[in-house]
Amino acid sequence: MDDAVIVEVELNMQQMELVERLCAAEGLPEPGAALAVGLAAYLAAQAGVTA
Amino acid sequence: MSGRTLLTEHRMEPGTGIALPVMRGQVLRISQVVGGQCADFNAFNLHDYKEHFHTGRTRHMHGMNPTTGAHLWSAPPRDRPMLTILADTCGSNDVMYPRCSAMLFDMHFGLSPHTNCHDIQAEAQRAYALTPDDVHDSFNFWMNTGIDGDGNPFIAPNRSREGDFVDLLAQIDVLAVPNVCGADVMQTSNFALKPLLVQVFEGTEEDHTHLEPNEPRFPRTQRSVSDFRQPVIKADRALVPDPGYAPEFTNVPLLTQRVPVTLDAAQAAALDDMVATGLFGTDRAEALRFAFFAWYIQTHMQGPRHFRAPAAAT
Repeated sequence: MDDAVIVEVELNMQQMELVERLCAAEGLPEPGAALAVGLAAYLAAQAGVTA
Repeated sequence: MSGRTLLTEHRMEPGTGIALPVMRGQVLRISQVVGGQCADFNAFNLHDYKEHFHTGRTRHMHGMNPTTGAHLWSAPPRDRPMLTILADTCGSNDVMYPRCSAMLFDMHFGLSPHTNCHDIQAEAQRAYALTPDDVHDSFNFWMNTGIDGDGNPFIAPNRSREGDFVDLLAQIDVLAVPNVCGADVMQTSNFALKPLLVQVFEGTEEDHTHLEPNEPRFPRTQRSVSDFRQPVIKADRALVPDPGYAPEFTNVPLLTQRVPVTLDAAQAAALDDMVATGLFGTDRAEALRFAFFAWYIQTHMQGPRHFRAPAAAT
C-alpha cells in the first residue's frame, strides 16, 4: 500500500475479546484487520453523514 | 378479567399504601377508582429483601415511560425481571422521578407534616419490619412526565381516568408495595388525592405464557447471594473496615496490548481530523480505537442501545 501508515492501538483484554470474536466471525486474519474493517466502515458512515 | 380468580382486594385511601405478597404467576392489578391519581410502587424479593426493584435498570431497558410488555427489573447484580406489565390501559408511567418526600413539601411550600410517598411507603413496608432506609426509588404508575427541548424533566397533568388499570405479573415471589402518591399540591395527581384499588389474582394459563424461565437468562452475570463474597447482611449501622478484606476486582489487573493497524493516507488524514476536533482522543491510535468501537456498538451490540452516532469527525 503506497503511503501506508502503521499505528498501534492500545486495547485492554476485554476489548481484545470482542476484536478476536469479530476476527473469528468474519474470518479476519488478525486483530489489526478487524480494527481496519471497523475504521473503514466508520469513516464511510461519517462520509455519508456529511454528504 | 380473562377468568382470573381474585385472591385479595384492598382499597388504598389517600395517604396510605399497603405491602402485600404476590407470588410468581399471580397478577397484581392497580386500578383508578376516580381517576387522575399517581401510584408509587416498591417491590422486594419476598424471600430476600436485599433484592428489590431498580428504576435505573428498568429505565435503561424500557425507557423513561415503561408500559405494556416492560419488566420491572431488580437492581444489579441480581438484574432480573421481578414483574411484567401485562396490561396498561392508560400508558402514562414514569421511572425518572424519585418518590416525593417530607423534605420536598417543606422546601417547596413550608408544609410539615405532609403526606409524601417516602413516608407512606415506609409505613406500609413496616408491616414486614422494613425500615425507612429500605424504601427505594419508585415505579410511578400514572405519573405523566417527559423531557423538554432543553433536556429538563417535567411533570404534566395526570391523564388517567376512572377504571384505568395496570396488570403486573409476578415473575418471582415479591412483596409488592403500592401507595397513593401524597403529592396533592403538584400536578402529579391533578391537585387532589384519590383512592386506588389493589387486587391480586391467580394468574391464568394465558398469563403464565408471559412468565420468564425460572433459570436466569444470563447465568454468568445475573448473580444471587450464593455468588457473593460477602453474603451476610450487616445488622449494625456503623461502617468499619473489614480487617480480612483483600480486593478481588473483576479482570484486574486489566492487561493491555498494542495492535498494529495499517492505514492508507486517506485514513490517516481522517484520523488526524478526528484528533483535531479534540473529541476523539489525542492521537491517531486513540481516534482509531474510538472509530472502531463506535462502529462496533452500532453493528454488534445486543439489547437496548442508548447512543447517538457521533457528530461528523470532519
